[in-house]
Amino acid sequence: MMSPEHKARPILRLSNVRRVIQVVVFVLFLGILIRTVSPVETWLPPDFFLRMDPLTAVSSMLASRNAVDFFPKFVPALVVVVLTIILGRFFCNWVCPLGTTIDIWDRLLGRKRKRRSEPRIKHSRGLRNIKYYLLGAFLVAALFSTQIAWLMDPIPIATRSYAVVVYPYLTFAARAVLDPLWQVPVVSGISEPIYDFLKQYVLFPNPEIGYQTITALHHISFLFFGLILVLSFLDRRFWCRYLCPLGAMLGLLSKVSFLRWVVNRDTCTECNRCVHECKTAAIADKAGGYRPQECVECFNCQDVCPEDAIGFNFQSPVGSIRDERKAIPAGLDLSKRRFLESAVVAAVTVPLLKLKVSDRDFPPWLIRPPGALPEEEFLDRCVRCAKCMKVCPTNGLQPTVFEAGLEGMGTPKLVPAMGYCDYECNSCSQVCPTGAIRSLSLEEKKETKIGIAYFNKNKCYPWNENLDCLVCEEHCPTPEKSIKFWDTEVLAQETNKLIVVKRPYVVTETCIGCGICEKKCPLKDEPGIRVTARGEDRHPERYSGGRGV
Amino acid sequence: MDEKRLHRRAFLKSMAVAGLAATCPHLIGCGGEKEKVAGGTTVLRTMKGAARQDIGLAIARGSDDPKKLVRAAIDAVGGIERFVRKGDTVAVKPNIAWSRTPEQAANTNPLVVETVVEMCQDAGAKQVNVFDYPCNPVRRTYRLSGIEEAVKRAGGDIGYMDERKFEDVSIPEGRSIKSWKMYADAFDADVLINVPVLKHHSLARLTMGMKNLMGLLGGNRESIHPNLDQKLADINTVIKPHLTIMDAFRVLKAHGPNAGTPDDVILARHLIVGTDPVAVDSYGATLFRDLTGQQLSGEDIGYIRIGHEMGLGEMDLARVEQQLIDVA
Repeated sequence: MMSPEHKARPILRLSNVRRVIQVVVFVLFLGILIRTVSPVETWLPPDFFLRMDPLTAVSSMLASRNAVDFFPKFVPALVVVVLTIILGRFFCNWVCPLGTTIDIWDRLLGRKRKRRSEPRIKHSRGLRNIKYYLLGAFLVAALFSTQIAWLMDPIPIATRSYAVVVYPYLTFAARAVLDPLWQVPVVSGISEPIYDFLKQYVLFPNPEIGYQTITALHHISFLFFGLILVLSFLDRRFWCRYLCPLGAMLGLLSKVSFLRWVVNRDTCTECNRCVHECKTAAIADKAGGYRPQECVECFNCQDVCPEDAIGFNFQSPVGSIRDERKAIPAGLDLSKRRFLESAVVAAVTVPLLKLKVSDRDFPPWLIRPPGALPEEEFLDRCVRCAKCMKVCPTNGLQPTVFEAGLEGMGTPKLVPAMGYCDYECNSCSQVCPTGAIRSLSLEEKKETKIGIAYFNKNKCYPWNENLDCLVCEEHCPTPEKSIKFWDTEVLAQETNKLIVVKRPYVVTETCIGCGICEKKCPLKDEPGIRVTARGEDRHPERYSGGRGV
Repeated sequence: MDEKRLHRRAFLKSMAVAGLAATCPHLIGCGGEKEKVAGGTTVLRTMKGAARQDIGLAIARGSDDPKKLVRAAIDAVGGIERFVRKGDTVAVKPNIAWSRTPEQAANTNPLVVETVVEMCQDAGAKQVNVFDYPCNPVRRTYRLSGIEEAVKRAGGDIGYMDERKFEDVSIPEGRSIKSWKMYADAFDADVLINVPVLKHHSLARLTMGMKNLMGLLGGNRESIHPNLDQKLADINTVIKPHLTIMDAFRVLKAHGPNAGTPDDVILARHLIVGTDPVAVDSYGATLFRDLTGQQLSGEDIGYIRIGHEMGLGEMDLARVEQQLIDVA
């Protein structure tokens, strides 16, 4: 028998076609993500990959009890479902950016050589089933109106990990490496054109900020992303095999798929190479044992088979299930009891998540982006893909930790100290896949109130130190200015003489809460003007209307 | 065992190379080659190129085409060749502060910038760099202002400002500030052309040429505002544009420098050219008075008055030679 390593195999084999497409799709994913900048000009919708995700679609639809809003947008997910019924779980190994990330990580670790060894986790049925129970639990939670599928939905994970973990890190690293080189003779001739290109097309294009700063939740995202990769030490594609709820969803569809793995039993020597090669334990430890719901169509088994005994054929799924039952004990064997248990756990968790961790009904610093739905509906829909944070040109949108309660962890809020809501920008409402931030025209956006500014007169220059300043007034973007001022005669503390100071005030009716006043206040320690979510349009009941109408 | 030791050596070697590469900018002593102020961290910078020429003021007015106004006014003072010679590097500093459209008159008119760049190119400039440090996100601001496209059309270079090029420049004559972070390219260019727009500003009353130079500052720019007039004059003692071309084609008369309703924009069809920054701004103040009926002259604008006192230029327009050019 010839060793498979030395066997001449055609270049144009299925596994190579898969590899090429996988790389192209991954590059496309990163390209769209990097070019999700304001103003949005990508030729594919910036949320295209999220729209391909049926789990994102179903969980948001269930949680928000709304299907109409999702229909035209999530057609790509429908296409994925149909293709999965025909081809099986191809999505996981041809498209999924998280799957590709894990494959690349595996390759970087040089685990290719170690593949021939026995799988580390032998009796893995119980583990494999975890993902189905998780899927069940997420959907039950969604039925109870809590969107938590985002926690383990791979497309939002990949999107937010690259957007808020990898991207800021790379931006920082690029600057740390390239910045010092700019005055080095010869070297800068090479490094500067590269740097210029990166600044133009890749890095965060705001010299005021330089790179995207990050907050506490980025570290949590980082740990989670890291954990997914570290799990690969235990087993290849540990995540996809045992945990991924989207994999489970597509797996259930693949149960009836037409494309089937077949082995020629006349030539198969039961060498078990394919069993060990299989990334997702789709081939049982017995000739002919096949779990269609696990197979991700990588076609690597064909590469390692010394006898060329493995093929993929289109068959009627009904027939094959019957055959399979006869031939293999290793089908999908879910326990009804476990399902019930996970459903109960989910149902019990929902109220736990909805418990307020704050002593207020109305967290004052929770400023949602313009177009955000009322809080409950917003949380039902937000899948934490972080696209809005990626696109925000001022870096003002940041993920919450506990400000919005446990249920609202990782959702976007405006942090004016970091960046304000640019008057001429509606990009976050253009990139939200689920309409948690509803699409706003620029005209609508300019009139959307997300909060109101107030002066901290103990800090503000004209109020506290009798100095003319008016930076806030200068930057205020509303047509007739929502910060105005009076020439006011005041007694100067130092000289005990009357002087005239321009003292500003906020016109609460027209202030939209964009926060540029807070960001630009020259008092950088504690600004003399701040914004709270008071008066936001999405919650008129929260607005204590002052004088009233 | 042997193999392992070799690896370690290779690792150490590569670490040494990487470390050397990282420190080498410091080893060769790059940066800060300008004259250091004794005992401080600031540098003394002076403008490159020829000394300021006295050309008086040229005011072109009346045309619906901003390009014609620019050409007419520049021709009246002897053409751009008086300032830009073959092979020069020219820095053009328009007002590109706000993400607003040209119709809102919050930024310099893109056609004015385009014409300036074209003329510099025609005069044989080696490179024409256009830049500003916007108050709003730079990408949208450059686009929405129309200036990015206009400069590219004219064959100039427009880029985002590079935070590494801000130097702590000494202001020896400064009364309120003694040094500030300023953009090196403004000093390194052979010619600096200031291309402001005339518009309303609450604190300064009007923003014109002298205030437009704030776009060349880094650091905590917002803290310039307390005692703004003196600080602006201080900055103008160091940054001295060779030529100021002030756009008053559309003038924002209220809610400046960035907001306003369509009613706040006057179609004024003026353009002012001069080398004396105080005189240009002083003329701008009287023009604003004529356009809006507000009682206003150069003397009422703090930074103009202080600039005049500090000898930066002439505020009294009776002493400034003026050419009025009516353009069809």
